[in-house]
Amino acid sequence: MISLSMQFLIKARPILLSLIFAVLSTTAFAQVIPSEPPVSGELEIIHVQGNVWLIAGVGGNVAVQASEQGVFVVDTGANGFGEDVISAIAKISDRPIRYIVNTSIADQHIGGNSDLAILPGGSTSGAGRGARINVISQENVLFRMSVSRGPNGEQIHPQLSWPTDGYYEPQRGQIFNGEAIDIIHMPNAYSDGDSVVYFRGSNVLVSGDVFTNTGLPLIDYSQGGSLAGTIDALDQMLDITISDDLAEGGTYIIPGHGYISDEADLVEYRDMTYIIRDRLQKLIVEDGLNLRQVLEARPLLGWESRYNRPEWTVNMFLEAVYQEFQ
Amino acid sequence: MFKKVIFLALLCQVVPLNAQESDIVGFWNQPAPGLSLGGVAALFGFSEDAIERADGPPVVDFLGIPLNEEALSRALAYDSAILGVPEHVCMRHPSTYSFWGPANLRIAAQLNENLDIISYSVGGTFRRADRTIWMDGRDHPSEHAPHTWAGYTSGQWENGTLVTKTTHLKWGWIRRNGVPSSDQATVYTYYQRNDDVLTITWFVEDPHYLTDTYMKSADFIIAPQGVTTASFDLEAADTNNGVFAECLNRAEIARPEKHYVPHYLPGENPFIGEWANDIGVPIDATLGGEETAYPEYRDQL
Repeated sequence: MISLSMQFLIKARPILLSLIFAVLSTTAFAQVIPSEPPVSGELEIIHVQGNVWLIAGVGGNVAVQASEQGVFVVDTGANGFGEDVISAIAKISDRPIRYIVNTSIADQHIGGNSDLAILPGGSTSGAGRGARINVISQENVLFRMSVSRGPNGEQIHPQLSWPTDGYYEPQRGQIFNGEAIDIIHMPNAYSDGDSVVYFRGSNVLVSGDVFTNTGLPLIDYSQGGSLAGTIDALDQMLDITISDDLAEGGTYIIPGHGYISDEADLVEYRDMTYIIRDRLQKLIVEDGLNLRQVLEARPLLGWESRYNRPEWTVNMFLEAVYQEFQ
Repeated sequence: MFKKVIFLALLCQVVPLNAQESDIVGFWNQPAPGLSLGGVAALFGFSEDAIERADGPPVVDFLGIPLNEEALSRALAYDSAILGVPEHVCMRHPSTYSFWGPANLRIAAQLNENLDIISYSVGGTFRRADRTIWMDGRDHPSEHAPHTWAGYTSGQWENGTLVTKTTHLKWGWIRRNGVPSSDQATVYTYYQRNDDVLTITWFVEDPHYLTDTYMKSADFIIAPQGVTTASFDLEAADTNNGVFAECLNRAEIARPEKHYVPHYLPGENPFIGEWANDIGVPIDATLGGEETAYPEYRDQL
């Protein structure tokens, strides 16, 4: 004889399991934060075109624009690689570093800030003097870096590493080395503080983690990122890029991680993100699938093998973006 | 891989061992001019692969392609309306496919001061993903170097056959009905001359989309009178009876959404079964897979 309470539990088991799963899933939403790929490869300097170089092998890609007026740097690599970044910049130019742009708060894009900040007058040889480097970011990056605290209340990012110039307007322009440079806020892609940097004369776009070719889109919902915002950002970058004849070359893109790309590569990534968005829309909004069912439906089939990474898996991505469709 | 071993074994049988190099430099035409479609197709020789020309192969015809479930998912998502999207309009035929398309080849050799061959240039494939084959033993570029439609190719002569390896390819396709290739695919190409015929055989290996090597070949006949190829120079194209190759991204269809990506959701491709019905085979056969590449698969139909 089964007691009434036991009968209730048996009958209600699917519902209870769903509720437990839903609670766990909700908890997971807050915890699924993307990790960048591990630092790998040897340090490498590649001339992209015009006045722009790529420094790779230091974590996130670092872009350097250099000429007579000095050096303009986009991102500073991973923590612990600051000295490598400085020595690489010194091989490109003996002029002082004047500006740094942090494209986001991602660890591998701000890690070298402190090392570069103490260079006297921005000199990579250490022989310079004068004002410290002007470090630009969207103001949300500055805000988050300044308020971030560890479990014991300690400051995660030392003040020396903070941007010195947080902008809040949608787009900022400046001339450096005779070249017009656009710093454009992408409001809700990886986070709410993403910038892409376009060197007009060199025709090189630096995307930060809004676009990589090493993994699935990095989206940090805890910091204002979203899949919709990522697609908007990718489309906005497509409006900037112009390919040369027959869909090759033209505007080159330095992604947050991975190889130097052009518009066709960006199109492939945008198409993937767009198709994934539509598949999730169908499964979650129209068909009403829960997270477990979505995972079973494998909406990323077609890109799983290429982009699944241990630190940012297909399932982690799906668990993160699921909330956006509810 | 198994197919490549068989191919190499056959090659060793038919090629004299003392023939270290062959002369592949010159003009090469595709044999047997075939259909004339508005005058365009008549410029090129079409033969056994006519089904690949003009509008291209049937949609959802993946028979004989060793694609995996990931490639099938993408191939079934493919909507040919993508070809009208401005960002896609001008994409070239990648090296995973290009010799299967319309191609009148011009092959040239670059020599150093000692007359050693430093590289070959192979030009003329559709929309000109011209290939440079580096013969001087240089390394392939780093993992951070750009990827191109032609890719980066190195080569060497082996018993009279030029054997090349191509990496750094863009995302592309191996058939013009949406079967994808990834940016980590590798193409091995064999150029073998037998008198006036140049046979080019290529093997695509793709760790993300293929369960086995995908193999294709195309024949070209020597054309001492020259061949028509696409030119990037409008004046040269006009005066040399050439085809102007420049392509500019332009919207061909007015759409309300600026950045529209045509595709089919899983299970919604309306063309599944169409070609199967046309030729009277089960739908599963048209969805491809490694087993459909072998002759014994016919016994299952």
